[in-house]
Amino acid sequence: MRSKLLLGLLMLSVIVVLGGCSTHPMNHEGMKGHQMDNGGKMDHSAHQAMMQRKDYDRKIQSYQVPDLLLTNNHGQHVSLARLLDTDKPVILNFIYATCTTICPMLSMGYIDLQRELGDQPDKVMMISITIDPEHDTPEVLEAYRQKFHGNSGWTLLTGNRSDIDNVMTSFDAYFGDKMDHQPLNFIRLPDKSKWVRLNGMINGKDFIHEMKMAGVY
Amino acid sequence: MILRWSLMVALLLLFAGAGLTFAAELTPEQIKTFGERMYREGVLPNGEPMQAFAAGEIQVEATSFTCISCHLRSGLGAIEGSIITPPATGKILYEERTISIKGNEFVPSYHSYAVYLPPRPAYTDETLARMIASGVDPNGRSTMKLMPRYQLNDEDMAILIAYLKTLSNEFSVGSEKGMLHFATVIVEGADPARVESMMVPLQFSVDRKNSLATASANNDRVARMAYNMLGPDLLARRFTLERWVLKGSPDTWRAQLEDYYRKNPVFALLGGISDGEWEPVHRFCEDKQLPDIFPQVNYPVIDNHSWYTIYLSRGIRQEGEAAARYLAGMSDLFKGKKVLQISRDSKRGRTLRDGFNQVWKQKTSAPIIDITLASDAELNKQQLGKIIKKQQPAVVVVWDGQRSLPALESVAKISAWKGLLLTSGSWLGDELWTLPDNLRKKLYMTWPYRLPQENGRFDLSLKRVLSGRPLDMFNVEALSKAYIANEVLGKALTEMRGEYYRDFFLDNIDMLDDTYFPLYERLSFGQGQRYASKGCFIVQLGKGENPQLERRSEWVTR
Ligand code: HEC
Repeated sequence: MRSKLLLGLLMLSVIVVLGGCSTHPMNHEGMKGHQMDNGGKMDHSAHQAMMQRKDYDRKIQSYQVPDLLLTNNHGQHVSLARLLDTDKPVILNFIYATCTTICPMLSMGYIDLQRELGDQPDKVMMISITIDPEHDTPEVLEAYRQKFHGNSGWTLLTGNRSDIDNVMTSFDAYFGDKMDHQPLNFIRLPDKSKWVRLNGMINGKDFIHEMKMAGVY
Repeated sequence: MILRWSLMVALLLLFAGAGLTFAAELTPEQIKTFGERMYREGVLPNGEPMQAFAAGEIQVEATSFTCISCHLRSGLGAIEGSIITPPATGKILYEERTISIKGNEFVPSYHSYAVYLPPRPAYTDETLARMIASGVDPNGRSTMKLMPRYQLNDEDMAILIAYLKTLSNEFSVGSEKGMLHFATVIVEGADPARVESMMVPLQFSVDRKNSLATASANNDRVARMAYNMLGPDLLARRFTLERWVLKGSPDTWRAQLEDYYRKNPVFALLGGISDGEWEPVHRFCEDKQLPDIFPQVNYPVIDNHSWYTIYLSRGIRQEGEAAARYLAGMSDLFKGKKVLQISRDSKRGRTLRDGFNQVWKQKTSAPIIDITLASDAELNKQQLGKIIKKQQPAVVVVWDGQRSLPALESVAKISAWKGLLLTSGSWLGDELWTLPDNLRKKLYMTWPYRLPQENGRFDLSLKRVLSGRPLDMFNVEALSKAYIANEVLGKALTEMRGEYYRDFFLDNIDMLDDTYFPLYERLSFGQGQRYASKGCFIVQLGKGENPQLERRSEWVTR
């Protein structure tokens, strides 16, 4: 939204306090190339392209996950490295409790998997790390889990802001602001060194399919 | 009355249009109650959870997939990351959607649902019911990737649709005829210097806005720029700001507020100030569904369901909570040892203690010895020394102002005790900067603001609202807090696309990015988050004549 920024600067000379500058910079992967420089209207081809974009993106990547002390939804300190040091399949995402559309849908994927696992809820380690540690205390995260009827297989983590930023960065999932976050799911491959990175609103069937492909489930 | 009439019309249309059966005789009030419950809580009129199918075909209880969690309280939708949730209000659904918002076609600063979602024809009751039940929009396009579908019987569907038609349907009061009315509540007895410092930024932006409206009426170039930034409606609106002074005891405030509000039903309250009580104002705002952004109070109402007041922080209490969190993180320090907590028996002392105790008990089982200091008593050095030597607490926390400094100094000198000493930095006032050297080394303090040496870069912003007067004429804290209220007001209004609903105003604040303003290290928002600053440093005072605060913790520790 370069055009918007420029306008913002121009306007500053006219209107000092009211409406300083943009609060929703829309520079996301999904919306690249949609600068609206023709007076707010997007031309039709861009619009079409936008509508037809694929549901989600899939990449295989390795991440150096830092060893940090985080706090789980029961208020216990846990070492992230130790948590990940398991032979169980691991899936991981980033959410926050007061997030709108994206996080309910990400959590939905977890709940669906949990249902598939039936009476073996701990067979897969499901991890959600909050990207809003300022608000999301362990108590808030525990309430969030209960709202979704999550069971013991789902661990939600908060921590000091700098540690959380560190973890996000290590998964290449740091977007500067929580309002700019993206629907990301990570599935760790059985050799433990690589992760499948899924970016997009993925439906239940595809999510399970991806996990099967990754040999996780 | 008007509301009731339009609901009746809506219902009549519903019968006629959709042919939905609507057996029970329900009043519009019942429809509002039941519809609102479906929309906000995902609960059916019969008390059962609504059933939803999300992300394809996953069946879930709608109590975790409420309409409000995506379409927000106003129903006017949200943009988050790359995900667009469009409005779900009758008024907008029953109009065709083109690729820009009607009346705002040329406003480049409006990125909105219309740009990123395909055009569609206007809904009818029938197509809307189909959309909610099956996730297929009037184009025949499935929206199920994001929007769940809901299993509802005809009657419940009719109630939900009737409710959507009432949602953000008529502009809120206080926004009539090209105007936007605001007031600020001043509780008599508040320090006049703080009151005046608070008023400066508020009045400045109201005046600025009004001169912009005048300028753009007279000058095309200004008008064009203002149009691009604010849109055609906000650009022309004029603001008013009234002072509502509350006198006498808090139990008479309600009547005074009612009186002010009857004469001038404002759109929102900006700021506000009280040295003590605030709760009656908070309750008034809840009852009238009247937003108040950033009142300057030490004792905000702390709960997790109130909606209409957004506070800067949890006030004094936040310092007590932060201290507990910081100390609980140092588990090596304890190993079975105790905390000795001494609190002044005053509102401030009790508030700090309660905040500390609540968090402490959540975090650890290390015992606390609680001592209350009567409101007129001095903290006795000898006694305190004896207790410390005997109990050997890991930490001594003292919730009191300057008055206990001599006692703290003597504690710092006890060589037979190696623990940590902590107090409220904000309560020490100016005395904080002249603490004796031996105390500086030993004493930890809560500090709920950005460190002063790092705040200077914001002076320039503050000066913009002072029209040339020097900053030191003012109470900078009060000035900064009002400055923040102003900025947030501006940000929210420019996102509102000329839709003046109070709930939408708050929804827009909730969707703001983390922001960096004077005074607080960081403010953050989120749906229903009502205390914007979540942090508090633990600090020590450095050496020298002009000492600085030295950080001993992060802004937020978990
Ligand atoms: C998980 C988030 C979510 C929840 C929960 C949700 N919606 Fe939606 N809704 C969306 C999104 C996203 C869209 C846009 C989908 C699209 O057009 O592709 C949408 C679209 C709609 C539309 C169509 C808008 C249009 O202009 O075509 C209506 C109507 C609607 N929702 C009503 C509701 C109601 C009523 C509820 C609760 C019973 C609800 N929604 C719950 C996310 C949600």
